[in-house]
Amino acid sequence: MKIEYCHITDNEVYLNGTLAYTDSLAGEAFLKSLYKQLGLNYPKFHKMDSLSKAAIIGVELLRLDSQYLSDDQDDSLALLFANSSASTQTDVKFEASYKEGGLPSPALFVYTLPNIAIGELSIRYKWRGHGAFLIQPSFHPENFIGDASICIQDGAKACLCGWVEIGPDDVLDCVFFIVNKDTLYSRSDELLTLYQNYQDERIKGEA
Amino acid sequence: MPKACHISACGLVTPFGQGMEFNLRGILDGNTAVSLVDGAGFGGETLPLGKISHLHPNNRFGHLMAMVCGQISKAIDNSLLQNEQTIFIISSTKGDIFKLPKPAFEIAKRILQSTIKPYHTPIIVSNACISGVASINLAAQYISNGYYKRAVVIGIDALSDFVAFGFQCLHAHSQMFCKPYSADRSGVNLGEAAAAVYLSQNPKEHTAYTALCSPGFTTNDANHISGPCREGLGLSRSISKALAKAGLRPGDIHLISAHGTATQFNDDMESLAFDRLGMGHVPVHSMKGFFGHTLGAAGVLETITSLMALEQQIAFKSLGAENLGTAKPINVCVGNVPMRIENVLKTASGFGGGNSSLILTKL
Repeated sequence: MKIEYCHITDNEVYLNGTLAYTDSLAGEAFLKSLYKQLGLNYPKFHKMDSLSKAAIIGVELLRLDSQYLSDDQDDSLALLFANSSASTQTDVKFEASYKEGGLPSPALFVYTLPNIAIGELSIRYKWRGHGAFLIQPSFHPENFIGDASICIQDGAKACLCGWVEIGPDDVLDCVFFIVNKDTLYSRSDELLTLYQNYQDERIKGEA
Repeated sequence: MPKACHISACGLVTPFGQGMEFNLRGILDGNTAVSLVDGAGFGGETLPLGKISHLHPNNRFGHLMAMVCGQISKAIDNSLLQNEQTIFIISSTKGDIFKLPKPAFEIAKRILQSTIKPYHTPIIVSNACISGVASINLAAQYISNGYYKRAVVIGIDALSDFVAFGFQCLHAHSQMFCKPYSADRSGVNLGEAAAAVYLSQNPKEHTAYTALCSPGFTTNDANHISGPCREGLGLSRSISKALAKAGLRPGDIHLISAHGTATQFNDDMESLAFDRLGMGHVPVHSMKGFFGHTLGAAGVLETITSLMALEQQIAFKSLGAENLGTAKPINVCVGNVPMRIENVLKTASGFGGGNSSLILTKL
């Protein structure tokens, strides 16, 4: 099964729309649990904020079976990421470090930009191509397609798209998917249906 | 090859003042818009900052956004600004960080909506210090791919304790006026600004300070999240690709408007990148000595100063540069030099390892 997309919710992982992992832990603890379950060995992971941790886990899940995410690529892979809250959760922590903690924390400050998640992926996998981080009100896969199309025209073989939303208390809602020139439009439609189904289930569950 | 786009300045707010004339005058007079601000540092230190006076103290970001939107409204006809074929792109690293934890970019959208009423929701780019150049590239690509006919790119960031303390704790902020490319440089001076450019392929829609914009590419150093690749490989690749796309060679560039933040790492890295491409002799300047490092506004502000350089046929000085000392020698402008300038290369590098570049050509 080629893994084309994954959805990380607060304590579940769906691969290609099918539940693949679940846990009693949630949020950042869930990401740490996935790190262990996936058998990863990357000490830098533990210094990252939730946004970057989520990006690493998302990519590792896709890399379980994807031909486009190999190490060491110049312009063959483009990274297109977005969310609605930028790096707010880490911003709050950094602000607290100097307002309440007495000293601004450099370890936190370096994560107070959402595109750092792209930076961390680039470092880990040696991806040296295009990367962009946009702020959008909510997840709409079709928003990524126009930009992906431009990247593919410019020579990328594939685009790794990521919606990386970390809410208050590090609540996760992250979707990662890959598009190439053949799947640009079909992927978007599939995702929209799956994501909408997930949202509907969640709303029902909360009711 | 996609057709190059016309680009012109349509809004500018800096400590020099509003609009092109005040800013050009400041640059030509060799003045700095950076001033010593008492108590700005985490320990109460005085910090040199490009601070705009008279911004509303409880709404600095919103006030700055309103001012630049006011300028855009005066510069460009409403029928163009509100057209369905027009897209707005906002480049900002922190938005209205003062309202944390409220969403930081909503106010920019609201002010844009209430002053200009664009057809589409604006696109918001938050990509660290390359945001401005990357946003202009995105706009130019949208137009050349036929997604839109025209675009307004607004770069904006306001000074904040959040960012000042952050740079201080990284030991990246100098307590002296910054010295780009100098042997004893000791870090950035932060600044704030709002700058806007207008892109479209119709020359009739542009007035003064217009040039052709050939969009470039973003690359990643894949090295460190807050420090550039030491050899500048990512930057030189971004520049090579931009040149190739524009059908130019390194020797065709007459002026480089570089990032030049005055940190040890950045300026060394840039010198290596330019040297690698055989551009060590090309006049290069950093505008950070004039305005400070304006983060999300920088790429747009410095594209506008490049438009000024093209119009005036003057390579502006790198204010603050003295006793040059970078890993490789480069040709830093130490005075405002009248010269023939046809092609300007604008580059930017930022946290997260990004590098972005574009080329401006005199009409």
